[in-house]
Amino acid sequence: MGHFGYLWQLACKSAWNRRGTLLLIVFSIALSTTLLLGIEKLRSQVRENFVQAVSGLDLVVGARGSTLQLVLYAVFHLGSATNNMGYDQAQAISQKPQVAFSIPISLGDTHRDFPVVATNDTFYTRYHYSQGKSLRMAAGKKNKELLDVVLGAEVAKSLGYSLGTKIILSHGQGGNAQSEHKATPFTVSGILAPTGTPVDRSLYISLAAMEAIHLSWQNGIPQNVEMDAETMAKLEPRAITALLVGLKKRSQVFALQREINEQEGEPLTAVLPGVAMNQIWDMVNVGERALFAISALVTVVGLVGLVASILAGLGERRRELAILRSAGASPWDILWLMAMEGLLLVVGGTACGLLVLYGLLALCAPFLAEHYGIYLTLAAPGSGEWLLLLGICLAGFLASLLPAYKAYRLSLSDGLTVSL
Amino acid sequence: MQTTQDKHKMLAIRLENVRFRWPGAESETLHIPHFSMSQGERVFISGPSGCGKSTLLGLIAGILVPTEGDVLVQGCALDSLGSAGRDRFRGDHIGFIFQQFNLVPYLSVVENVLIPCRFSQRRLKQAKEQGKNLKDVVKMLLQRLDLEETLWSKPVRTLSIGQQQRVACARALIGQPELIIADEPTSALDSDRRVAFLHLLLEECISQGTALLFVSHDEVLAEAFPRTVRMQDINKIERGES
Ligand SMILES: Nc1ncnc2c1ncn2[C@@H]1O[C@H](COP(=O)(O)OP(=O)(O)OP(=O)(O)O)[C@@H](O)[C@H]1O
Ligand SMILES: [Mg+2]
Repeated sequence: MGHFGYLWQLACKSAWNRRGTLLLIVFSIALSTTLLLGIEKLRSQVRENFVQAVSGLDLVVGARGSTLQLVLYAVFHLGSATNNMGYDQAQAISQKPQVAFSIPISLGDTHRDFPVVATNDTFYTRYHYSQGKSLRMAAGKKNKELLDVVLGAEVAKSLGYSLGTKIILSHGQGGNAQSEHKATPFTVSGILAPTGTPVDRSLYISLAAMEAIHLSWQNGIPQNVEMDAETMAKLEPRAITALLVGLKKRSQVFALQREINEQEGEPLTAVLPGVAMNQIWDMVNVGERALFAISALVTVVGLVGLVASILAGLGERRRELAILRSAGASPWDILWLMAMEGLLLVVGGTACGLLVLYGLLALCAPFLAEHYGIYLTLAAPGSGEWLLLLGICLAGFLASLLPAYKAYRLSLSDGLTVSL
Repeated sequence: MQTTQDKHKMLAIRLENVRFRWPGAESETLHIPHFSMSQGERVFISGPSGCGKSTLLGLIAGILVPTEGDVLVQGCALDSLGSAGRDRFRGDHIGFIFQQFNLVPYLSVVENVLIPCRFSQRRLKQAKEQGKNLKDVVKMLLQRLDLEETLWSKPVRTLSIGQQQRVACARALIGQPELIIADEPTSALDSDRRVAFLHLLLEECISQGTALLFVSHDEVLAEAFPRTVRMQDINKIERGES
């Protein structure tokens, strides 16, 4: 058994012997690790979610207004509604030669707080997320009948719907969705496979269906309008919320953006979703840094606790250190013994913290997805996280050098006679 | 290790003109013109509290370094070794018994006895030569010191002080160091146990041929030693209360 091996063994046994006190320290280091990594994880996941959802889109076009609001509402169904744009305008844009595909989006209705998105078939075939993945049906097929609805994976799962379930949509969003489209129940025709994007949390109907269920509404009051199914299926909307555009060549994006922004007629806004994302990052950056600073501080507090408890234990260990010295241990051995204890605690703490974090992530992932649209992937820690973990361990080790140095000094000045 | 093969190599301990002052103290604690002890000799050191007995032992152990003069153990000048060398030397050649709290609380009895063998290859090697295997050697030693087997697995805290001192004794003896230093090992024991303990220790030292430097202010124990040294006689500095 090597010399260091023996010191390790001593450090472990000694720590185990005082496990009652040390457990609290391990606990506090575990908590701060969980906090630090959890916040970091949440931050990077939120960013990734946002980026993945728009990764296949080059432009988002809508009525003139705040660019950020447009992207948030049209793609993520977050924030307040924007003005509508004319459907004819949207069609004019989709005819442009640079445009590879365009997906019209019409929002406004909800079902049990999940947004209802009216769109056309292009959505199913051309919408791409997280670097080129396309949508896939987990069950059934896309809407064929007028009153067919396709569910996002999360909607189906959390509401327990399956193919053939009949559902009623509500008019308006959230709290003010008082009135329901009772006359027009929809049938679930398909369920999308999970994507980790807002698609999972939405219901999809056709533009014609959206128009049809609102036909019977005039000025917010339901009316009885009789119309045969065939005419209804041919209905076209007068206005939509936004048009999601993919280009044949990405290099043309700025030219087209300028063209749309400057065109005559109804004023429109064309946004590069990536640019809008950057605007969001700039806005949340301060908050993120504050959160990071707070959790870093909590970690520091944990490490201070580590140092304090090792220092407090030093008094009663002086005797035992003198015994080791008498048997040939050098003051450096004593220093290492103490530093190893610190390392042991901090590594144990971060390991526990990591376990707690993944446990919490697994527990909270469904909740976060449902209520905040944040999709957490339970991937192994990335290089950034390993770096953080390494940083905590290193900081803990360095911090524990302080009591270790104290023990070193004591073992020199005490000699072999420790008076208790 | 023993480079200085001088004419005194037969001596277990030799001090020449040693002066020592604790860092920060205004006066010297020790000034010992000469003190020596031969191989296998058993010496009793007496003296009032605070006269510098433990300080002397620290110098011999190489834990303290004299401000002036030479300390030779087994013919080896300690200050020529450097601090790491002195630590190794101590592990290799000297066994210790303290007054009290001699055991590392989180190690078993056997592990406590084996501590010197973990820090010193020499002690490990010599211990292994004494029996079939290391464990066996420890057990033999513990048995000779009247520690019955039922105690070996108990947490060391639950042993009586007398039992703890005997475990410490086994630790000092293992691997046959040339010198055992005992700093008032009996002062925590009652008078009957004191004598019994001392005789066990002396017996082992005699059978192993180990030199024993035994410090106590209990003059009664001096009778068992062939040679008694009073601190006042070797230390030129008068100190301590009696
Ligand atoms: N670690 C230390 N630092 C500074 N001074 C010390 C230290 N240890 C002892 N001294 C001083 O050195 C002197 C001698 O102390 P030492 O412990 O050697 O006496 P002692 O003879 O062993 O006494 P006792 O019989 O009580 O054990 C005392 O004046 C003491 O104050
Ligand atoms: Mg003393």
